[in-house]
Formats: sequence, structure tokens, C-alpha cells
Amino acid sequence: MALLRTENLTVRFGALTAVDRVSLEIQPGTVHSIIGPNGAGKTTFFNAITGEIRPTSGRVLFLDRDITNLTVYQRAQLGIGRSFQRTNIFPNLTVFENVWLASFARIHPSSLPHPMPRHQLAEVKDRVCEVLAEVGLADRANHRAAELSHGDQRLLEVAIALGLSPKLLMLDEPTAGLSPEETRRMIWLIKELAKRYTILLIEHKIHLVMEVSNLISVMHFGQLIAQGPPEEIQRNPAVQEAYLGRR
Amino acid sequence: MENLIPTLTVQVFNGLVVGMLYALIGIGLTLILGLLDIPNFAHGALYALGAYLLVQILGMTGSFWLGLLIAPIVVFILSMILERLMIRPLYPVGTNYVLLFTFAVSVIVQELIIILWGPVGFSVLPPTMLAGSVELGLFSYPRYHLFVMFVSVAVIFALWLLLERTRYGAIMRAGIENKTMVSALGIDVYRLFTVGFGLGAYLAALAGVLIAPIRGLTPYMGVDILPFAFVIVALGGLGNIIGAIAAGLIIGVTQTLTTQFWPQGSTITIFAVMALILLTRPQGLFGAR
Amino acid sequence: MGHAKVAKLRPQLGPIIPWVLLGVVVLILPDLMRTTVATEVWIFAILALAFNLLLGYTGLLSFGQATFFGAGAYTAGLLLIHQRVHPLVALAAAALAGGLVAALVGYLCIRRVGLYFIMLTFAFNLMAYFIVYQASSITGGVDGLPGVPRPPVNLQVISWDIRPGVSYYLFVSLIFLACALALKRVVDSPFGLVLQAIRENEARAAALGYNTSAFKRLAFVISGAFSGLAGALYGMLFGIVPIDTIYWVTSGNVVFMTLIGGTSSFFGPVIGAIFFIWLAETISVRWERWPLLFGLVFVLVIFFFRGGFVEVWRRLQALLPRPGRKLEPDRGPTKD
Repeated sequence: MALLRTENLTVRFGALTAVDRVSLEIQPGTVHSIIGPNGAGKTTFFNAITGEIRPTSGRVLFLDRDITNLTVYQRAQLGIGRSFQRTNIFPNLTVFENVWLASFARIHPSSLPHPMPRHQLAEVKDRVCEVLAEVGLADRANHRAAELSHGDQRLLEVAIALGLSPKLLMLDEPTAGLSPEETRRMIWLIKELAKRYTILLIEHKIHLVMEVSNLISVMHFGQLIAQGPPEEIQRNPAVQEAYLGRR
Repeated sequence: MENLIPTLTVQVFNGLVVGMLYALIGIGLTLILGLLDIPNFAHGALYALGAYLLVQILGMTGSFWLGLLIAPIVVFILSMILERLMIRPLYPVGTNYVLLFTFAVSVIVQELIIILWGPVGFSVLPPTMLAGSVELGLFSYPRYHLFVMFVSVAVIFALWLLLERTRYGAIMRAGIENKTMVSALGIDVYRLFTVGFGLGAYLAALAGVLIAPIRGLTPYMGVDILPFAFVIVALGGLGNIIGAIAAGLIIGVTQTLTTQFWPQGSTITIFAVMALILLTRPQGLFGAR
Repeated sequence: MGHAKVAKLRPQLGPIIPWVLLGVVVLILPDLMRTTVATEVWIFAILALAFNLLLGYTGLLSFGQATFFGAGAYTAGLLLIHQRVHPLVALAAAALAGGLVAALVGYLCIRRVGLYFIMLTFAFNLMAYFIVYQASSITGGVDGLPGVPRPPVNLQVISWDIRPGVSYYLFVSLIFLACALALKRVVDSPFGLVLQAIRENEARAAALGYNTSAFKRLAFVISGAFSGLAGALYGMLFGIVPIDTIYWVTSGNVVFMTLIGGTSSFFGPVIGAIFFIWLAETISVRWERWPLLFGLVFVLVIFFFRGGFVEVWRRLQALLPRPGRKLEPDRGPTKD
């Protein structure tokens, strides 16, 4: 069963069709990348999946459940965790607290208080330490998030999504604005994460995509124009014309 | 029963007079709201300041006409200076701070008014030329009230000319709609804000001057009028100038008539309507979205 | 309006020193000013703390705190006058009234953000004021509700007569300390951290799975309940519930004092309340135009000390030479 499935997902803004009848499936345990030139509709597609945008038509199904009309927070509670293209953290809270909020949400997202057994809080804390260690931010846990370098903030961006222990990890251009060295570190991280998470990835750096992906979907002007394993996509003439050929 | 129609007409006229003044205040407030993105809590204070400057000029020169001419202009200039020196630096800090500053200004201005002119207030007589009543068929009506209507209409018309028929007015309207775009066109948005704030202040002060012979002055007139100014702006649509005119008239007439016939309910209804509009139709009764 | 706020995740009280300091201030305040004024300080301190839950912690600039303050004041006043209830019952009823009104107002206002939110809270405050104004047969209208008694606090074995000024001061300051402790627990809890997350980045908080509207509504209710309770104490202080308790200028004053004290620290609003009430009551006898001073101080705060007195204090601390770091700002995973 596909983890996530979209059926003819369409997003229109007035006369502009940002996402045009995109149907695809994300299989569990894979790294599925979406590529395409700027303005192809990739982030809009992401937003339609996570609920920041309501589609004009079409459906989004998560574990065979229609989530098209659920709110952002409801979808997050189902296990969809995403990072953002433009860094979207909690600047005045510490790194630890940023990730803690995600881990805590997984067990107690409700606003109504009820006493929490001590061991549950300990579990949350452990999870946070785990994530921070994995991402490489453990030594900066007490720093204010705003004080981190851009590269570290991008790591925090991913760490927050990881804190949710998501069933589906959606990463929107995690390497945006990173130096080559930081990019290599992020690639390594994604490969490690791929061992345990299903990842839906948007990226511009083609070599990264080719290196980590099991499956690549190519978008152009809102439409899905090709889909397949990396080698196939590299050879696909339509893709080359639309995207790779322009480099 | 024969008195009903004349009485009603007089009340409607009164409502229109108040409504026109509300419209002036509302246009000013909505203009500032549309351009600066803040509810100007100092708007009532500027209205009061206009009235008190009128009294000052009246006291110094004995001429209502000079007061009518000069007082709003003084407020216009002072408020532009205030905006340029003290509000502009706050824009990068956040609109909440601009808002809070205007609140502080309202407190400071009110206290200054009491310091300079005393806590008791004044009553002002209309100029002799405008004293007395005019026969309008079924009833007689104060000449001054008619004058207020005339001046208000003239000012609103002049404003309409400015906004709709001049290039600067077009820029101003564009600034209300889309500041970034205007700035991208190379226009100094900040100077637009200054002038817009000044213009809004001018209208408030003018309303204060005009209302002085009708309602008199108290140092608290600013604080008292502010809630109604907000209602008008909410009803007309935030940033919507035509809406402010219509809303001003509606509120003015409604308030005058209900005070006559159902005093208890008038103010509550007005604010309930305001909340309702803000909740269901934030673009106001007349806005398009 | 967030500033650096290093929140604590442990539901504890944090460092003990501020509380000791607070206790000292509570003890000596009646020696520095008239007892009624000192009592008023702690009443407004509760109100400011309650308001800061919305402003400092959740990032909601509500311009209608007086709505809840007044709701509590009138509820308690009416119960005390007509039903002769126990003062603690009056306080509980006032908190309930404040919470319910806040639930309604909050539910409606939360549906909008930014400018509209501010204007909506303002609008509801105006409505509440005019309702009270018109219902003068019940509320006393513009003249206020006179004759609010101060019955003794009967607790099974003891009966505490709180009519003497000093006794009432003790009563109020104990209630204040209890409220402060309770609110500190709220803000230090996970709930409090989520509120801060909403202030920092509401969209991201939602993307984590938090129903941010529900959190904001609950913040309103908590804030409203404590504000209502403060209102009840106010009514019992002067034996009258003036219409000012629900007037929008009071809302503005609460905003003033909270910002002047400092929104980024838990105790900032308390400092602001002390300053405001002291200024209002002490200076006002000498100079009726004291609000002018307050307005000017506020302008200074807006321009130079946005963090309020707390920021002034922190800046002074930074100027002094330090022998070594005293406390770690927070304990994290690496320490355990």
C-alpha cells in the first residue's frame, strides 16, 4: 500500500494553474524526489499535501485515508512531518526546545492539560537527544535558535521535522543556501535517514537527487512529465529538454 | 401627529450633520489605517486638538473663520512633523509599536489640553453670520448646521478630486492597496505615509472645529469619539474611503434617531454591529473582496 | 512582541531568588505607600500577569483586558451585595465569570489575526462597557456599583475579618502570590511552551500538530479567569465597582504597565504594576496631570527600552563586571 497518494491533484490561483492534475504514489521505505525548474509547482504541491493550501480539485490520501479536507495540524498528527524551504524555526527558543515541541506534539498535541506520567516526559527528552545527536546539533542544544549559523538552522529545520518521528518525512530544499561542505553533510544525513524513514524530497541540486533517490518525479508547469529511477530520468529527453538541458 | 414629519425630518437632518462629521473623522482614520496599517489611537486627540485650537484662535482674534481656516492646518503640520520624527522610526520595529505610540500620544495630548486650557471645557457660539435659523418650509433649521453640511460636502468633494483626479491621489490609493508595489515603482512610500497621516489628522481636526459650536468642547471629547470612529471604519471597510462616508452617514443618522426613540439600545447596537462586521465581513459593508 | 525568552520546560518555579525578593517587596510595600495603594498594586499585578500570558507569551496584543476585569468585578460585587457570599466564593465566581467572558470573546476574536484581532478585542470591550452603562439598574451605570461589602473569611475554625486595611492587604497579597505561583506553573508547563511557539511561529506550530486556535482560546480563558479574580479584589478594596473597571482606557493602562515592566520576563508585569499604581496614586495627589508623565515614560520605553524595566535591569547587569558565571541559563540534555 502506498504511504501517500495523490489523485489528480490540482491547485489553481485564479488564471494560474500551479499544480495540474498530479497523480503520484509514495511507497514506504523509499526516497522519492520531486524535481523541476523554478515555478514548476513543487512547493505548492508540498503545501497541498501538508494542508497549507487547499487544492482546487483532486484528492490526497495518506495510508488510504482521504486527508484532502483536513487542517495542517490534523495532518501533522497523522504522521506527516515537513521541513520548509525558507527556514521556519522558533527563533527565540533554544535548539532543544525547538525539537522538544515536535517530539511532545507526537504524544500530546492537545491543548487540554492532563497529567503526564514521568516516563513519558523522559521518553520525549530522550527522543530530542536522539534527534539532536543524529543531526549533529547536540552541543548547541542550549543556544537560542536565532543565534545559529544558516547551515545549522537548516539542520535544525530538519531536526524539528524528525522530532515528530514522522511516518512521512517531507523535506523542501534542505540544502538551500548551504555551502558545498554543508551540502555534503546534509546529503550524508539524508542517506542515513533514508534507512529509517520514507522521504519525499524537493531539491534543485541534481547530483544530490541522483545520489539519494529511489524514484524521481519531474514537474514542469505544474504537470508531472516524467517519473522513474534516477538513471531513467537522466536519459529521458523530455526531462532533458525541460530541465536538465537548460543547465 | 402633525409634528411628526417635521420632527422626523429635523432629526434626519441632524443625523446627516453628525453623519457628515463622522464621515470626515472616518475618512481620516481609514486613510491612516489603509496607508500605515495601524488604527490611529490618537485620532480622537487630533479631533479634540482641532476644537481647542479653534477656541484659542477665537480667543486671540475673535474670528471663527480664521479658526476654521487655521486650526486644521496647524494640526496638519504638527501631525506631519510628529509622523516624520517619531512614527517613521518605529515602522521597522513593528506596527504594534506604532499603534502603542499613537495610544501614548492620545494620553499626552489629552493631558496637555487640560494643562493649557483647563479641565472644564468650553462652549462656542457660531459666528454671527451663521447664527439663527433658516426657514425650510415645514420647519426651521439652524443656519450653522446647514453650513456644516455644506462645508463637509465641499471638503469631501475636494478630497474626492484629490484622490480620483490627481496623480498624487492615485498614488495614495495605490499605496492603500499595495505598498510594496508602489515602492517598487520608485515612489517614496514613507513620504506618502507622512502626507497621509497629515491629511487624516487634518480631517479629524476639521471635524473637531466644525462640531465645536454644536456640541461644545470637553477635554474628553477625543476619548469619547474614538470608539465611534472605529465603528465607522470597521463598518465602511478598513481603508475604504467611500465606505467611511457611507458608514459615517449611516451611523450618524442611526445614532440620532435611536437616541430620540430608543436611547437604551443605540450604542450597544452600534458596537454589536461593528463586532459582527469585523467577524463576518472584514471588508466592511462596502468593501469588495 | 517576543524578546529572548528562555523558557523552562520543567514544571517548577525556576530560580528561587525572584520569589524571595517578591516576598520582601510584599512585606515592605505598605511601609512605602498607603495601605490601599499597596493593595491596589497587587491587584493590578495579577491583572498584568494575566494579560502578559496573552501578550508576552502568546504574542496576542489584546486591547480588551478590562472586559474580563470588569466582568469579574461586577459579578463579585453583585454576589457580595445581594447574596452576601463568602469572599472566596465571590473570587471563584469572578474567576468563572472572567473565564466565561474570555471564552466567548476569545473564541470570536481568535478567528482574525493582526489588526482585526486588536480591533475586535477593542470592540468587545466597548460593547461590554456600554452594556454595563445601559444596565444601570443592575450595575449602577456610570456611577458604579456601590456598597460592596467585605465579609469575613470563614474557614471552619477561624474567622478572619478582612475589613481593616492591613488585613485586607495581607489577604490580597496572599491571593496574589498564589496567582503568581499558579501562572508560573502554567507558563513553565508544556502548554506554556506551545504558547511561546505560537508567538514565535504559529504556522510551524500548526505544522507540528498543535491546534493553535485551541491553545489561544485556552490562553484567553486562563487570562480572563485571573483578570476576573483581580476585578473582584478591586471591588472589595474600595467597596465600589466603578465603571472604569470595564472602560477601554483601563485596557490601555494594562497594556502600558505590562510593557513598561517588560513582557519578556515573567515578573516584568509585576514591576510595571508597581510602577504604574505608585505613580497613579502617589503622584496624582501632587499633580493631577500624572498621566502625562506616564505617557512620556511609555514613549521612552517604546523608543529606547522596549523590554521595559526588565531590559533596563539586564543592561545594567551587563555593564557590571562579573567574577564568573553564576548560573547556567538552562539545563539541557548534555547536562543530564
